[in-house]
Amino acid sequence: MTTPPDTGAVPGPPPIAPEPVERPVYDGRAREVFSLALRNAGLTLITLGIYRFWAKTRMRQYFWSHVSVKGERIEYTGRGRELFLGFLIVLGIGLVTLLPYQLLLNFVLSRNPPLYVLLVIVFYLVLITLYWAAVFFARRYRFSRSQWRGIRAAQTGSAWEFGFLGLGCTLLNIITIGITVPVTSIWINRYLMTRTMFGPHYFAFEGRAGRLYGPWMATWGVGVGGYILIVAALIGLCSAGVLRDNRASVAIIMILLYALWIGGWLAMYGWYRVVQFRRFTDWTRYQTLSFASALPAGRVIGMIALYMLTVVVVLGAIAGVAIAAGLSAAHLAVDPRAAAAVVGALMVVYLPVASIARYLIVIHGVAGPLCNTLEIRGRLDFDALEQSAEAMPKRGEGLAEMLDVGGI
Amino acid sequence: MSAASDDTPRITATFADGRTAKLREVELDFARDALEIRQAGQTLERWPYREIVLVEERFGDAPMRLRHGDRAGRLTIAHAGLIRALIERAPHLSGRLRHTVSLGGFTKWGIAVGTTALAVYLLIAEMPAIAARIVPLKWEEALGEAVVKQVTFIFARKSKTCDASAGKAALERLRVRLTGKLKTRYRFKLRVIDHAMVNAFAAPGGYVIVMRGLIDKAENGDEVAGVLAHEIGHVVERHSTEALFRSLGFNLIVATLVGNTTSMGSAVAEVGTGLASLSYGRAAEREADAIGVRLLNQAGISGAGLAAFFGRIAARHGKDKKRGGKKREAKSGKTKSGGDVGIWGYLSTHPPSAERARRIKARSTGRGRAMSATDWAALKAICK
Repeated sequence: MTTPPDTGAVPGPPPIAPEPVERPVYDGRAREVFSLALRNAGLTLITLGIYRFWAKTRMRQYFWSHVSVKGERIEYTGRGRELFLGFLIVLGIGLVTLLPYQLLLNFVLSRNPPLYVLLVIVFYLVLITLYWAAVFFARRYRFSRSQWRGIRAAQTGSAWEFGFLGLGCTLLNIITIGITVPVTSIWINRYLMTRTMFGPHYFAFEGRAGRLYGPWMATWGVGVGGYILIVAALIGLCSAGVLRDNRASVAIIMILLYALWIGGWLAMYGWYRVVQFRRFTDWTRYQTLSFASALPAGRVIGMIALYMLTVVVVLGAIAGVAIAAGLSAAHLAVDPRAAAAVVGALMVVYLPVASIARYLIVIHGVAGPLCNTLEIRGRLDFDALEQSAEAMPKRGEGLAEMLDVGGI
Repeated sequence: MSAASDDTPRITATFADGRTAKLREVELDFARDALEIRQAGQTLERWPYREIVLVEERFGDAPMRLRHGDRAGRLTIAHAGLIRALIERAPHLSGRLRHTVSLGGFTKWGIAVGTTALAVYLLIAEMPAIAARIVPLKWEEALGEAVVKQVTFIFARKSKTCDASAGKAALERLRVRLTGKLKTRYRFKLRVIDHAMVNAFAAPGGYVIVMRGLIDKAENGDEVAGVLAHEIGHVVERHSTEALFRSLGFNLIVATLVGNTTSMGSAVAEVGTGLASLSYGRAAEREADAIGVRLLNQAGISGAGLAAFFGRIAARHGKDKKRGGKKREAKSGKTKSGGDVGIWGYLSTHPPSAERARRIKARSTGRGRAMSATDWAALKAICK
């Protein structure tokens, strides 16, 4: 690399540069998040789910407006009805395509098995493409509805182009049993980031997969290695004849091993995603600004684990009550009242608790550390930034809603 | 004339005009009908009070962010005194945030809500009957096959239908007797599933499923024949196909309301099992009764069996419910009906009534038996 000129404003990870460093501030309060989420859950329940678009909008408005950069709060300008209309359109398309497709599948099932298999494969290919397109649509909507100092962000590019890129990456990851994950994640993020704008300028992104391979191979190793260990343990127990004599204890050991493996892998994967986020942040530029993140993985994993624990406890409680009331799986299939009771309990107890817990634990709990470990370095004449000329999409996120794409 | 600004302290607010990201420290002048945003003695913008909109809900003493209609400019006021002074002149800013609503917006909303309501209505009320009429026989049979597979998988021991050869032959003779003279597009397929529940139901495309419990609780072949004739009536009238489509539509709506597509994909499989618990409504039951009695009459089988069967299980169910219900209530303090319906599944879908039994008896002209003693014994042993 060339030696930096003495202007000071050099992009690139600086050793000890005398650049100004800015940290966003998140000042949301748990009490407010809770009361907002509670009110939203109640209204969503009363309206049989319809309110959730407005609920989501209120939550986003809250979180966006409680993050400030250089003392100025971010703003979310989306509306509930935009989400609702987007959803209705996707719902309509879904109904006219999925219903005939399902009937067709049933028809083909017993008559032409190869065609059936082909149809199912095509269905999943389309589904994966749609998933990535949904990621793009959702991001484009959110960015176009985010502004700071009156200036909008924007996501340009094509959802379908991105959908096919995502499909290709997913297939490559499947074929290589996950070894290519760091490479494909960079491709995907580069497509999005280099087409992301704030005001009149694009962001820049330059990733190096090599810096992700260490953490990823460790994560990958825990996943694949753990699985091999479990299979080996089972084979060992079988061949030693232990299984024949102590069926119950072997089952318990296997379940424990399995739980340990899943839990361990999830934690590792969470850690990897945080590392990836930190690296991606490092590799992102905006004009003369560079970014850095020191997001602590422990905090993120802990919050997600707490959330999952909450969900499991609530589901367990519902199942416990159902079993205590004498309900069995066969019951649910034949007795509409029993099925209605369980579905009702899920709707009245599980959905609200899960939604409140998600906002309070995962999003509120991570927003603070996320913001105050994020650094924006460098000098930029913000006053000269002009309004984005990108047209705003009219409707939001319908597809993401249907495909359950994560995020706020 | 800009009055009332004398007692307001000259404290600044922050303003971004929406054209550049420049933030300005501005002074606010409260004119009579508009808020004036001023800098260095110059008025940058005039916002009529009625057109000022809260950007977001305010929590506690958070700064107030405002916009002018739908324009991109943003005014942020942090000072409590200024906020109070503004709210005095624009009271709508004190409450919840309000979006500017236009007539066009209302029209769009009306269309959106109306279309949705119409779609939901069509999907549940009208489409199922139409779809059941136009669906090709082969598709209907495929659907029925899927349902039978599903039900067999869930309920039957060893996940297969009962197939003792003598029993199957007896069932086949009964089928020929009942449906031999019936003009219909369906080929009837009667199946017995090894489960203790007293239940029988029709699946699309000519399938009639009887659970072993019903044969066990029946006193003779006439009763089983009566139930089968009734279910065949449902098949002929395509009630189960219709119900399946209705349930499918309903599932799709629920799945989409909750926002989950995984259940959308498996909707067909789900509703398959639901058929066992679907009641088609009184009119449909009466239609099926009428066809059932006609089939019995054509076959010369007495309808007394069907009527007696209804009467007996109704009486038995009532007793069980009293006994079992009390016990269960004492134990868990919950669910009055939970356990009984599991065994007496047929009752939950075919509410027996004295009136129905009377009508069946009155219309019945047959005097003969449905099957020989050996056939009845064979049918009782079909699951062994």
